[in-house]
Amino acid sequence: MAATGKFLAFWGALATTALTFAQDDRFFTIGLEAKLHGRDSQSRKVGVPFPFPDFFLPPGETQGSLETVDAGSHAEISRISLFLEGRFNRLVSARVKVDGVDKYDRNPTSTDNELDVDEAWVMFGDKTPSDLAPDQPSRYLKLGKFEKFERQNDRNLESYGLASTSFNRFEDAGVELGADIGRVFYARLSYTVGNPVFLRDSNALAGDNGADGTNPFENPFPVPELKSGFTMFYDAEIEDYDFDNGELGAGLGFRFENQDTGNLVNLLLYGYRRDLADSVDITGSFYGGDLDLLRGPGDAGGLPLEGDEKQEYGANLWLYLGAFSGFVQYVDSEIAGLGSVVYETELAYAWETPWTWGAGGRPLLGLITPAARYSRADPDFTGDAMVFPGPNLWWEWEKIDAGLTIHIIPDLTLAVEYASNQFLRGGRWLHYDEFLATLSWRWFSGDRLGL
Amino acid sequence: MKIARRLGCALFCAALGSALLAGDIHGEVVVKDRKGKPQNLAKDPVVVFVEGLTAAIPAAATAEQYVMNTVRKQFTPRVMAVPKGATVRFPNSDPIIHNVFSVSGKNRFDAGRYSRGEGAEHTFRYPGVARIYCNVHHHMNAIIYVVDNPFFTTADAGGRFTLTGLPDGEYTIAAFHRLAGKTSRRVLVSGGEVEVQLELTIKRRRLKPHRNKEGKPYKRRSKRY
Repeated sequence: MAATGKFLAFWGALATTALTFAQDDRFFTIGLEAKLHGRDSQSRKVGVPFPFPDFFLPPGETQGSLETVDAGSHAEISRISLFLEGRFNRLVSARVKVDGVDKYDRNPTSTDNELDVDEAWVMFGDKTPSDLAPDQPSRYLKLGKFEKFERQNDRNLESYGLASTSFNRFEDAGVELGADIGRVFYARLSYTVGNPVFLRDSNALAGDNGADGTNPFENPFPVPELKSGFTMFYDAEIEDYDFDNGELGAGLGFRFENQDTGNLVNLLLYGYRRDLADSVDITGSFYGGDLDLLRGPGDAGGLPLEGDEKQEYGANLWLYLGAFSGFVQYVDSEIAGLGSVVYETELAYAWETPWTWGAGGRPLLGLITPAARYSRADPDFTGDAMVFPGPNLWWEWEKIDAGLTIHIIPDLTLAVEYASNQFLRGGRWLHYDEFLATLSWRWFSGDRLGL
Repeated sequence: MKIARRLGCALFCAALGSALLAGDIHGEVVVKDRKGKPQNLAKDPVVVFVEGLTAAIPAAATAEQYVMNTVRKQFTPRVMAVPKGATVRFPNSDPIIHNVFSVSGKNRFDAGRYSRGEGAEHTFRYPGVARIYCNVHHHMNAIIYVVDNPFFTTADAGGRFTLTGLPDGEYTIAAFHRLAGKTSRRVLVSGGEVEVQLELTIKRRRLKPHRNKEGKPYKRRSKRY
C-alpha cells in the first residue's frame, strides 16, 4: 500500500508537470477501466490420494480434494484500473497501471492484495507493437515493472489459454532492451526479477491455496472461503524487487508487413532462464513459491525434481490478415527438471458491421469480434500422488475458449464466451467448464501510447 | 516570331470557327462482370468525360452544387466528375462520425472528423483523379474526376449518356468506373450527332487497399474501436 501511495504521488506530480508544459510531442493521459463479470462455473470435485491428516481437512471431510473454485452463477466487479501514461518527448514515455479489486488476478483469491501496481515503467526510445512493422530501425530501453516481451497484448477473449495462464499473464520487473534491425528483424533482451512458480486454476479465479488463516497447524480443520480449483504451475505475480535469482530473457523476431494492406506476419523465438529461489513469500498464502512449493509439504518430495533451474523456450506467431487475426504460442519449459509443453492458438475475425446506428456520433454495435482459442498442456513428468498432494500438476489439459466481443459503443464492450476446460484423469476427460460474460467500460482523457 | 504569331492566329480562327459548329455525342457504356454479364449502373455509376482537352468552363458549371453524401458508411455517389474549380460538399447522413480526406496530389485535403449534418466542402482546383476516403472507416472510398473542360456527365443506370455542345473536332471520350477502371475512344465531331459505344470489364471486387491520411496502414479494427 505504501509503495502504491508513492507511485501515485510521483505520477500526480509528473502529471501536473506534463499538463503544465504540454507541447506537440508531449501528451499525458489519464484513463479508467472497469470490468463487471457474470460467471457460471461448472461444479467438479475430485478426490486426491494424498493422506492428509484429519486436521488439514474441513470438518467432516475424510479425503483431500480438488474442487471448482467458486461453482455456480455469480456477478462480480473483477477489476477497476487506473491508467496514467504519457510521452514526455519523442524518446521518453512512461506508464503506470494500478488495479483495484483485481479479483481474477489475485492468488489466493480471498487473501491476496486487492490493490496492485500492475505496470510502472519508463521507456527510452521506441518499441514497435507486435501488430506493426517499424518505420525505421529503432532501439529502446525499458525500466520498471512491465509485461513480458512475448505477451499477446491484444487477446480477443477475456479468458486465458493454458499457455497464457502458465507463462506471461503477469508483469515482471527489471530492464528490457530491444532493437528493430531494419523493418524485418528485431531482438529483445531482458533481465528481470523472475515471476515465482506458484499454482492456480486456469479459469477466472485462481482459488484459495494456502490462503492466510487456513494453515492447519495454526487453525486446524480449516475452511477456506473458496476452493482449491484445478491448478497448474504458472508464473505468478512478482512479490518483491529482489534480483538474487534474476531471470535472463532473449528473443529474436522476424516480421513482414505488406505496406499497402497492413497484413503482417510476426514470428518471435525466445527463451528465459533463471535459478529457482529456495522459497518466495506469496502474499496472502502460507505456501511458498519456487522450490518450496515443488518440494511439497514438509519437503517430502513426490515430484521428480532435478536441479534448480527454470527454463522456457518458446515461439510466438502473430498473423494479421485483413479482418482476421491469429496468434500461436508454443512453450517448452522445464522447472527443476519438470518438463512440459504448452501451446495455444487463437483466431479472431473483427467484423465491422454495416449498421450505422449511433449515439452522440459514436457507432452503436459497430464492431463484433468472434474468437476461438484452443490450448493444450502436456506435462512430461509424473509424481507420486501419495507423497505430493497435487496430482493435477502432471495431468494433461485441454481448453477451448470461444466467444465474441460486442462493441456496444467504442468504449463499452460486452464479451460473452464459454470455456470448455478439461483434464485427463484415469483415462477420462473431466470437464469443469465456465461461462463468462464481461462488461468492460473504459475512458481515456486523450492519446494513448499504443503499445 | 511573325510565323509563330500567324500560326497562332490561324489556329485561334480555326478553333473559333469550329466552336460555332457544335455537335453532341450520344453513347452507351456497357460494364460487364468477369463472366460477361452487363451490370446495372445505378449503384456504381460510370462517369464520361472528354479527356485531354482544356477549355473554358462556364461559371454556372463551377457554381453548381456538387454533393457526395455519406450514407450507411459509404460515399454516394461512388464516382463523380466535376469541372476544375468546383466545390464539392460532403454531408454526413449517418448518425456516426465520419471523415473525408484525399491524398491525391494537389487535390489533397482533410476535412477532419464530423458528425451528422451538412459536413465539409472542398474546392477541387486541379484536374485529375482525387481518390476520396474516410479515415474512420477505411472501406469507404470514392473517386472524383476533376475535368479541365465543361464536357462531362454521368451515365444513367442503363449506361446511356450524352455530351452536348462540343465544337467540331476530334476528341478522346473516356469512361470511368470505380472497379472497372477507365476506357477511352477517339471520336470525331463535325456538326451533328455522334454515337459511341464504350465497354468496361470489372477486374476486381474491391479497390486495392490504401493507406490512412498520414500515409500509414490503418490501425487494426480492434484498436480503432
